[in-house]
Amino acid sequence: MLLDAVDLEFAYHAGRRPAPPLVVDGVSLHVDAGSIVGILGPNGSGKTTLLKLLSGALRPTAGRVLFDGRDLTSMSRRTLSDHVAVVPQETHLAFDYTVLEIVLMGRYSKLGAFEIEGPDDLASAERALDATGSRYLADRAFPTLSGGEKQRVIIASALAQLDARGSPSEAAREASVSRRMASEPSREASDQRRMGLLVLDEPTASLDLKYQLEVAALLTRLNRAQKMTVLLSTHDLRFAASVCQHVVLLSRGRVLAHGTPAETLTPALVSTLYDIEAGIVAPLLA
Amino acid sequence: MSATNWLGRVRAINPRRLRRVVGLAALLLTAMTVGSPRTIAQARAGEGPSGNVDSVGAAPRGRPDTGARPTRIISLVPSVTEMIFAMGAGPNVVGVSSYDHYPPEVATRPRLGALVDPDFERILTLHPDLVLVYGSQEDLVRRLDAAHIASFSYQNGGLDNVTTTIRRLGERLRRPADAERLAASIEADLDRVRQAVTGLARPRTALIFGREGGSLRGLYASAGVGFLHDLVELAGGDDVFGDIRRENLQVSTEMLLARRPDVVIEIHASEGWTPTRLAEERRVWDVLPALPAVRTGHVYLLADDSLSIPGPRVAGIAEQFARLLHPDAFRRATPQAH
Amino acid sequence: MTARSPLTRGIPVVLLCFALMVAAIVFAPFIGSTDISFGAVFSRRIPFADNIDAQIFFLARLPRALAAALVGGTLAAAGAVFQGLLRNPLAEPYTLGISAGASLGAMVAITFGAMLPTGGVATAGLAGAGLAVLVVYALANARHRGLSTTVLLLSGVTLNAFFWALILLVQYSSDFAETYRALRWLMGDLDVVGYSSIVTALPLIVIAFVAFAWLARPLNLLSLGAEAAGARGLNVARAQRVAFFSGSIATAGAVSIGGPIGFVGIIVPHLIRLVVGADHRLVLPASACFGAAFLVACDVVARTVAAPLDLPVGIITALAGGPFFLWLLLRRR
Repeated sequence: MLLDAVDLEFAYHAGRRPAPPLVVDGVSLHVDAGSIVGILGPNGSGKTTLLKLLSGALRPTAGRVLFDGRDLTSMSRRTLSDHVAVVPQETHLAFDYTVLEIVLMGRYSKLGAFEIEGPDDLASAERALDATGSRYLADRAFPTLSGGEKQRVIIASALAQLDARGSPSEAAREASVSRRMASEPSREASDQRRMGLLVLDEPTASLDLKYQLEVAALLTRLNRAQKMTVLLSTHDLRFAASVCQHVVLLSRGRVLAHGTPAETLTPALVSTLYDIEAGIVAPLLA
Repeated sequence: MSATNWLGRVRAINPRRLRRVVGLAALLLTAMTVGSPRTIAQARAGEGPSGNVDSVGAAPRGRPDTGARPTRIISLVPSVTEMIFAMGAGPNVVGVSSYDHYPPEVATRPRLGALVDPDFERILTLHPDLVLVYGSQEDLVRRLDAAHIASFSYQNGGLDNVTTTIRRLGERLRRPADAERLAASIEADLDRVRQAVTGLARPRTALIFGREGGSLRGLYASAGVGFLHDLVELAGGDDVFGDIRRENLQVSTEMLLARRPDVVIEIHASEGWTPTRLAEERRVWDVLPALPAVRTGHVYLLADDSLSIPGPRVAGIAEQFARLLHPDAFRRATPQAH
Repeated sequence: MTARSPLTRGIPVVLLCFALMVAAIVFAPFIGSTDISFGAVFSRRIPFADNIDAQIFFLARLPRALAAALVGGTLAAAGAVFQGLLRNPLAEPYTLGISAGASLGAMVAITFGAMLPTGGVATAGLAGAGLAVLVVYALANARHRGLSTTVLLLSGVTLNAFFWALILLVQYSSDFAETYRALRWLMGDLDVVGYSSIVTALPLIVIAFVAFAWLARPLNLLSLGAEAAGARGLNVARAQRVAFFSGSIATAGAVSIGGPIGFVGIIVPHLIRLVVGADHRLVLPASACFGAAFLVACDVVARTVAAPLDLPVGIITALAGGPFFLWLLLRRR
């Protein structure tokens, strides 16, 4: 189990009187290493907030999130960013960065304050660009890309962030860890550390069908080829059904059901989730 | 401190400069806030005729001149107010500008605004039979015309303009003899100063009338046009900015150094300029040790409200300047002065 | 793809800008409205106190060139920082009300200077800027854990308007001569007469530049948005705070030297981005150097074009820089 959330609760402006409503209300879920988990729910069900809790961007009001057994809130920003990368729904840049520059920004936490990216970071960026099939875009200005291309580039940036291989600071940290704990089997520990979680918020929300399929194929490929663990939110039934191995149905901040797509994406559950008649849902699932 | 007191501090320096300043101010503020070309054009138009130094616009307007001596006079121009009082018509003055401070009697008269903000309604309620206005206050003149109130437009000029204006004003006030006496005495006083310095070496002089406190930044100096320039020359000084045909200019450090003044006279309003502060500000000049005036100790700071008013007290200003420029000449020639 | 960071491609441009800056500072003192003898300037035989040529060179022109370089470089770099912080290409050092606060302080000092203890217009400007910074920070920090850029922008714009109203009030209640001097201050003036105002502002500017160097990478990440930047390991709140305060004190320092000189802070960073791209590690140093060179050149024009009169340098920056920038913009597109 890579990520384990226990009895999560969250309210914006918690602590105010009267008590604000819970946006996430008693959610427990887990993400196995190497799986693709989708959080499915209508608008306003708390998907994005839950994703922020699971990626450490927000602190839960109650409950906790364990990554590989460690509480997310106890991890430093830097360590957290080594393990969890987030792809937001849409990315608007203030300035015209090139694709390569965007991907290299994923290496931020691997470098010192005044350090410049070295060959390892560039190699990492290249791998990420290759993995997302966007190497040919490397020198393009990000704002000139199509929606699907932008999404791929941001995923590449997230992959570069999760890529511990060859990162000098990571290697140094490992070395120092193994020196200090010479007796422990450090090989396994470093394998654990390499495990990353890719979190995507509504990856297809603003894309047309062609790009939706492209992103679905990309996520599946990353999952199969690199054993990448993926956690995503979506309101798109078919996307969830085609990509996810495990689906969590979220309704008004609570888990309605979870399981494989076959178990959860039934006309009965989906019609409850979206508060519409089962007869309308059935053809959508077909 | 109340707003009226702030306004009360404000002194009219010199109408032509005022006009330029106000025009510029309006232009700038307009450009900064609205940027409407129409407003800019209006601000421009308000500048009035660009004054030829010797022109004296003493044009009586409004109600046909009945030939009677005006008995209820309003003056919006401090230098003209002084002239009216000096020729004995003070008791007839029923209102003055916000910037009037001299003679002390003006403190008892209602203040009615000035160049940019004349209070037309209050002017009307005082039932004046003559209003003295700036040449650029064409709007006000039109409104006074409409109300059948006579007005007299003052045009600013050089030193000659002071006595010319006094004589013209005397005719309008039906006091030609008083005016002539006043003008003649001013001319005689000026002549005395002129003669005292005749034939003496003329020190190169810079007349400064504004800068940032505590530094030599933002220096403004009198240049080759206007009564202050004329006074410096009359008092036996050679105005170092005299070749620049402007009334005032901002002087850069480089320009000041390049013009090498032997004497620097800085003039200030009296308020707030304590002897301590004057001494402090005098020391600010030490950053330019190569300036002849600084090296020889000929930097003078004067805090005197009369210095900026082209009125009946100009001869006094001339003498103040001359005593700074030629102290020896006065020690010998006029032992009476103090 | 090369094995070197794309950063290295921009380094020649930064070096070129640096060379331009040095050249501008070195050559500017040799140009002026007065003919001076450079033999006399550097002659050791004439004592400095008697050497007018040397004084024109060292007390009038050189401090002016240095002040222009310092102010231009600082405004351009601060402009880049504020554009990065606010993620808004229209932002500039004056967006958040700092210059309006400084202007208000300076206006008060100019208008009521006779009644205040001798503190100087520059000090009053710094005090006004400090007031503006604290107000904006308090507002933007009030209801958020980090700084809200929207609230920052809105409170900055509001504060600008508020301070301008106060400035107009001060102007309205002041002497005409003071009004003129106050307006002249607003047009910007680099004739600093000696080095004292440079020395006063220098510590602030040095501290700000150290912060700018640290900020280059965080500002890159902030362009992605606060959340994405946080997810990449950036302490967003801290980076925003550092950017806000360092940009503010840099601006306050620059304004205390030269008044609110416009245009440099908004246009120079854009101009540099057209050439080197968006990476702040290039944009910041290149903007600082080019901004310095640009303002030195503008000041040379300002003090020679209408000699012996000095034109306000703020007018030159916009008149000379504006068309140039538009030309560059149109040529590139």
